[in-house]
Amino acid sequence: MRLQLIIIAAICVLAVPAVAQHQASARVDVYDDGWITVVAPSARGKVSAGARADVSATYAVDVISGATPVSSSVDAVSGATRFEEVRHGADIGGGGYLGKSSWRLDGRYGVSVEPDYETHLLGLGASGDLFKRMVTLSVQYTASFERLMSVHDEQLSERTLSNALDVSWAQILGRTTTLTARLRGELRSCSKAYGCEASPYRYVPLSDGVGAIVTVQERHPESRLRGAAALDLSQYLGAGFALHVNYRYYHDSWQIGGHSAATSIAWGGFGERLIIRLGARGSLQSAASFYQARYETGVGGPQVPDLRTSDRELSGLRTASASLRARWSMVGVGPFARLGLTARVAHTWFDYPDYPALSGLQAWIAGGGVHAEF
Amino acid sequence: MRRRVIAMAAALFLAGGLLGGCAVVKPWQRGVLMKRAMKPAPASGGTTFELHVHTIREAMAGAAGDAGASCGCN
Repeated sequence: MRLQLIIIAAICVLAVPAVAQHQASARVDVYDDGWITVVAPSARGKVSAGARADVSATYAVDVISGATPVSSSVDAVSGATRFEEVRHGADIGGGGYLGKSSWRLDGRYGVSVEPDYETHLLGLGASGDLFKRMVTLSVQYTASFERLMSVHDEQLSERTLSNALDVSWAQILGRTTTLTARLRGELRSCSKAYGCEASPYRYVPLSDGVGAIVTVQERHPESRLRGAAALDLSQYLGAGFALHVNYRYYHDSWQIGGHSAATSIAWGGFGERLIIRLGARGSLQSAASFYQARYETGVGGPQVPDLRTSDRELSGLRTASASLRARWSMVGVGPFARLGLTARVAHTWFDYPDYPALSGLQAWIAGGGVHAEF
Repeated sequence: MRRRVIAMAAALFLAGGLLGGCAVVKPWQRGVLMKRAMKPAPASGGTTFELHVHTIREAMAGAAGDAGASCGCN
């Protein structure tokens, strides 16, 4: 009996060798809403160090071009500002399991550079299985250090610190059902001059009620506390079909509240070599408490409000989108254990009911790439 | 605001704790959970790029990644 156990144990060890599985992928995504076009090529590599540790790196470029409507202009089209800029982003991370346990530690550093914006990000995370592996708990802390500059003012250098905590609880409910709860809390501390996420290029129109309009730079609060909670339900329907439903609630200290809901149906066929996913998403967001499309300051000269923004992203917003994604994987192609091709197209409708300069946007997002495991 | 977030967190994780008492699904019964079609899409509906677009276009952010989803197969 003892000899049999030793033989079985030896077979198990030999049958599961610590084979390193490496991954590489490259893709290009394109966003276009009629005003702005973004072309975003990216590449990612992941190297396994044994079976229980890995290191990954990502490099991405966003080439952004187009024009944005200026809210202070009466005519948003003729007041448009043309621009073109390039953002470079890189990310390196690594992690591994603790001994033979299911607990894993991860670390990450990321940097993103634009002509007038710079971000450095540090992340630490832990995840592991609980309750007979019916639950996977993940906790991640992220600190980001941001620097805001202006291409028109070399003296401008505003710094922002953000601390965020993400917690997720993934629960197996049955042989065909999983439920994941996610929470995120984030505190941003910003400069007094502009406040959090304010743009040195964005101006706010002030009206004295008689006809005179002047513009002043926008100014946001010096800090922002944000919270979000989400639930994901995944249900296998049979015959290769799976249904996914997601709901998220969001609230922050600027009194922006919002809901988003998404659903998708995925189908895996041909031995799971082909995955097709059809999705839909909608969201509803209220405006920041200090947002106004135009500030009425009364006769006798404008009294500049302390906090002010006419940024459409801080106004009320409704979105609706639909997407289609396909992925084809081939096994054992040349030197590759698996070779995959992906393609995706999505259409999103943005509606800004409180932003008179531009009430709506129709955006297309399309992308494709290749993924290899070896 | 802070109390609302804390209350929400407590409610979600209390619910999670109660769900921890579900009937155990044995490792050999998790074949369906490991299917690639069962991998949840991020709340953004798609890729990292799409999540980035929604984060920029909306004032809402967070709790939208696909990290954390699991079949408990580690």
